[in-house]
Amino acid sequence: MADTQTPIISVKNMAKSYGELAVLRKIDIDIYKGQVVSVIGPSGSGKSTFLRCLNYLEEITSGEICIDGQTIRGISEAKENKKLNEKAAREIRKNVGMVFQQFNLWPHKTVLENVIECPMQIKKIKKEDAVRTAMELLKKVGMDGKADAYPPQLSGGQQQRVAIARTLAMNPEVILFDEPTSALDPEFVGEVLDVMKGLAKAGMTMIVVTHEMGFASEVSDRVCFMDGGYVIEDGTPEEVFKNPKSDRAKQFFSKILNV
Amino acid sequence: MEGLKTVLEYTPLILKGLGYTVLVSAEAIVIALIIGTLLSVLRMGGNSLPSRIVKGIIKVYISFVRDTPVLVQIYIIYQALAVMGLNLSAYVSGVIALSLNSGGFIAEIIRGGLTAIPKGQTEAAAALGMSKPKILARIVFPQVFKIVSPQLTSEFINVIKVSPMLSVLAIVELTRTAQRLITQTYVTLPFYIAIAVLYFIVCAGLEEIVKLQKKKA
Repeated sequence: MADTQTPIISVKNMAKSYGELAVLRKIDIDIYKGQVVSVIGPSGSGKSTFLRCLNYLEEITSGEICIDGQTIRGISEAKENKKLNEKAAREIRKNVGMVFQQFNLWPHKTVLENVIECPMQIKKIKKEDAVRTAMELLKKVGMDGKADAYPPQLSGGQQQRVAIARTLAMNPEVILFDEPTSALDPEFVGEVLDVMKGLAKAGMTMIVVTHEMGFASEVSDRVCFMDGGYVIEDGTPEEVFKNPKSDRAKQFFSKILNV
Repeated sequence: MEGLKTVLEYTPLILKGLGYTVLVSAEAIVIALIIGTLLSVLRMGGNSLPSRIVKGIIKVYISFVRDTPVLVQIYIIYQALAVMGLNLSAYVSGVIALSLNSGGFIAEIIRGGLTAIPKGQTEAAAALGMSKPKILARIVFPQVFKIVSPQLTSEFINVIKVSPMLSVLAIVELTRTAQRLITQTYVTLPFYIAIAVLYFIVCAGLEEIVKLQKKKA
């Protein structure tokens, strides 16, 4: 199913630190088209930071990230990297969408306006075309009935589904999910996971930082377990959940599965 | 009653003065909004040396504006512009002085509003590929202006209420007009009451307009 020829995202030797504090120590990972990768691990292990580095919401200290022929390089390695990275990031962001834990819908715009904003402003798509696409996407996530509502009027689950539609409207090749269900009331988790499952089935490349072990084991092709700034387990859900190699992962699973 | 009659006799002149007050204030408010917005954008700069210098200058500027009398600021601007060889009318100097004053206050108001916008708002826009200027124009400032509209309104009203100080530059706005008529007619209190009512109508009217706008939004 997955194209194993050339990775769509290739991370080499990536490290990230805030001053003295090293958050990511050495990350090497290749992600291929169509893969659904769940990134799991304890809090503070660097999962979210890793994800945020991929679309340059965070600078990386050293190493490099290649996405679609664009490269982001560590800022400690050369002075001009910052400028070059910003340029690369602009290209990368065209193909890499992101869904956030806090949804981050724009409260001063309606649901529909949230979805058409970037296609119109960035891709210069005509309003009627943008609206047509947006309504299709909203229908896909079950939110077409709320097109004229403002985000604060919606439940968390509804907001997150709109946020997914907003990301899809830019037609990305990869979507990064940063704990997309962690801020939701339990009753709304299912509806968001269902939308994500639909995307996975349709072949979308997804990297999902999550605490939903059910989703990680059922939906993803691949699970990465992170701890202390390293990816210490990387394999199929079967391999990682059933036969973790590291003690750290064994400990983590025994704790969360006991709950 | 005699006094009221005198006031009414000079209605056209008073309304002309009122017109100047409204015009001067409106111009100052628009320019001040631009100054305040620009300053708050400049203050967002990072930690590089040039942007630290810019931020330092802005900080000094805002402190100066806040901690010296408006009247003194008006004199300084008027004289400074003349010394710089700019041959500007008292009217233009007056508008510039009011704008520079209010711009400093508005920069502070906007800064307060900016801190109320969660980081996720700009991150979501950036992650979708929006450029920095677009993020500010489409995502950040529309929300900021909504949040700070009460403070902005009172700052606008403040500009109107400070505008009589421009009479020191011989700008014949409402207060100056009244003073002139008082020396001409020896009628005092009725003129002051009349202009107080007019100031009240303009300021309270502005407040109402903003309230209505807010309800619509």
